[in-house]
Amino acid sequence: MARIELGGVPRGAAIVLCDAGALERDAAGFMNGLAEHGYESVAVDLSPTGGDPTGTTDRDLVSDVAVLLGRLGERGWSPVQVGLVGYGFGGRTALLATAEFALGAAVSIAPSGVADAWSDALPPLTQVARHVRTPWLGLFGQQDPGAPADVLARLGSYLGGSPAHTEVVTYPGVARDFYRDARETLAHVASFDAWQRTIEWLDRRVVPRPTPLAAEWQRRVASAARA
Amino acid sequence: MSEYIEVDQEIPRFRVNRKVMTDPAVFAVERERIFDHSWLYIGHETELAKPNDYVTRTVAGRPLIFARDAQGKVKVWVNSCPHRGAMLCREPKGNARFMTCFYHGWSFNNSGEVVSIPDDAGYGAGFERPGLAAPAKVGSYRGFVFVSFDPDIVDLPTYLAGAKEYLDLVSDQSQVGMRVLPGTHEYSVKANWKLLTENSYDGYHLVSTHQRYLEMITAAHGKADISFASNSIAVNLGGGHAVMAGTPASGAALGRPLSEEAKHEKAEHFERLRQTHGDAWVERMGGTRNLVIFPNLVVIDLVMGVLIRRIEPVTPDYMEVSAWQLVPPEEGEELHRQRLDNFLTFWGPGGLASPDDVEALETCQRSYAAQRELPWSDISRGMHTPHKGMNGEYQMRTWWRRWHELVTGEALPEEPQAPLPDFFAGQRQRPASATAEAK
Repeated sequence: MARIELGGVPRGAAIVLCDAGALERDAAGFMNGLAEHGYESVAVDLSPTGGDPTGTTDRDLVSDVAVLLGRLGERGWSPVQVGLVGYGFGGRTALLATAEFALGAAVSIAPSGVADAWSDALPPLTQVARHVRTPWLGLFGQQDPGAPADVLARLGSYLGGSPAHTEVVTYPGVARDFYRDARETLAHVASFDAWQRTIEWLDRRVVPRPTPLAAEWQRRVASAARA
Repeated sequence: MSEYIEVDQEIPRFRVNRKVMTDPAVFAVERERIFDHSWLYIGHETELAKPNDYVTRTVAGRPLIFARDAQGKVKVWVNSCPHRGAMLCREPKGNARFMTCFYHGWSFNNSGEVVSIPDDAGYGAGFERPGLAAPAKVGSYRGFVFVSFDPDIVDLPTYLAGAKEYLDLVSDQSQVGMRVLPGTHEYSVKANWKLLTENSYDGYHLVSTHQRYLEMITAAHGKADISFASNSIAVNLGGGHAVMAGTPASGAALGRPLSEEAKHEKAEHFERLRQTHGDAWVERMGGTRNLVIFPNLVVIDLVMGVLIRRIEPVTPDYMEVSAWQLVPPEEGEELHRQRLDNFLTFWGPGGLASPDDVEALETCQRSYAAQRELPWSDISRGMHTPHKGMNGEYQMRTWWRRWHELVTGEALPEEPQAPLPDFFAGQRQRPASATAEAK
């Protein structure tokens, strides 16, 4: 697990759920990117150690997210001030967690196990995704064999009936690792757009922490309303 | 008598001076005396399906955000940053709990409160952090949401007067609540906004202006039957609102024939409604209605669909029009398909009806250049009789009387209207529980 704490008054908090085994490779880049937009963050890889999923269940993954939310809570972040950003295996976890927690926002980037089971204990996401309570954005590569168009259409339609707003975006001509920048034009565009959408999704929904002066102003307004 | 409208009860005659369609001074007075003091439609609650959904609209020239906040309440805000004025939302629709001004980065939540000012220490502790501005009033009736910029205006139900009954007739067509379908027809007309208001419940133009549509319908039905016109009526609903209403025969004659499957489904649906609302109300529901709620909202329940049309005046000779389709969501696939087909091919800006109307109105506007030689438009049809039919112009005179009262302060003489035929007086059956309570 990695953690970035910002000085001053951070805009919000984020939990970065890395893809299986990719924490060391990815975490610093993602967290620095979030920090540039004012987000304090923690990054973790919740996938089974050594890649062996035996015994790991979706319930375990959601419980682990609860623990991370508790850690952020100790630093004064309420759930609506937290965004989830998950990649691959972490993207799966992020979607599952949105059914349990009313957070500020969640983004799943190329989530794993959408159409096919990850293991016996981790069935296809389409079978276990439930109505979400947190606004959820799903980003997919069109050439991801694990997320064919018809399956995504079903997922998007099902989640569209959720109490929270959801969107599914598919990038044409790119594989499931589209979020990593590359020289090839479509991959570069997809990478750029995916990051832009992720930040905008968070900025539009994660409740910001007020600055001391803003908090003072809010106290004055509340006091005047009571008087 | 003003310079704008001339009424002669003896002839009888009702004429509107064409100057009111072209004069910028009249347009400015309309803005101030009508649009600043009326309830104006902004949208339907079902367009905001989820918390944090929003759409942007222009109402009476003001850019507004029509939103559902994080708690699910409908809100309307002025789409302008209170700091320096840039638009907060520059998209027609979306979902966001916070809106951030792209100019200096001030953020607001959809409850209207400022939540973030970059480097707010630069303002000091005493600075009053402003929230979003809002219209003076927001009100809703059966999901139709209106705003008013007049803090002293009467409440919305009082303002709607008899128009409420016709919104009920439309809204009761679903047992789970009528919903606006995603998608908007948007088009503009190079004509004064009042011309489309008149046109929206003008029955007299049907045969001549929409001749090609009627020929198509005649071919589809195998015969022409416009006898329904004699059973249709125009009704003054108070407050400048009026309706042109028809019996079920009107809809049957004007719409394309339904498939057997659709007919069956519709009959079953209406039978269920009959159980809930009673025979008289559902019989009326099966009829047609072209309703104009003063000044610029049109609700047309005709030709297999319910159209909501909002007319936005831009200049004396230019208007923008938005239209939505209101549907019972429990409707089956076949009826829904035919409804959508009608919405597109009859009401759509490229459909079989609207372009005819646009052409007519734009030629009217162009010809008003000769208003010195031909200053008056005549709206007298049917004035000589208390029996107000759809081919008369009583509904328009009703609108013009209200317009005249607001613009000039002078009330024009009313004209008698015969009692409503029984069919149009039918009321909704009271639920059994309500009857029991009344005893």
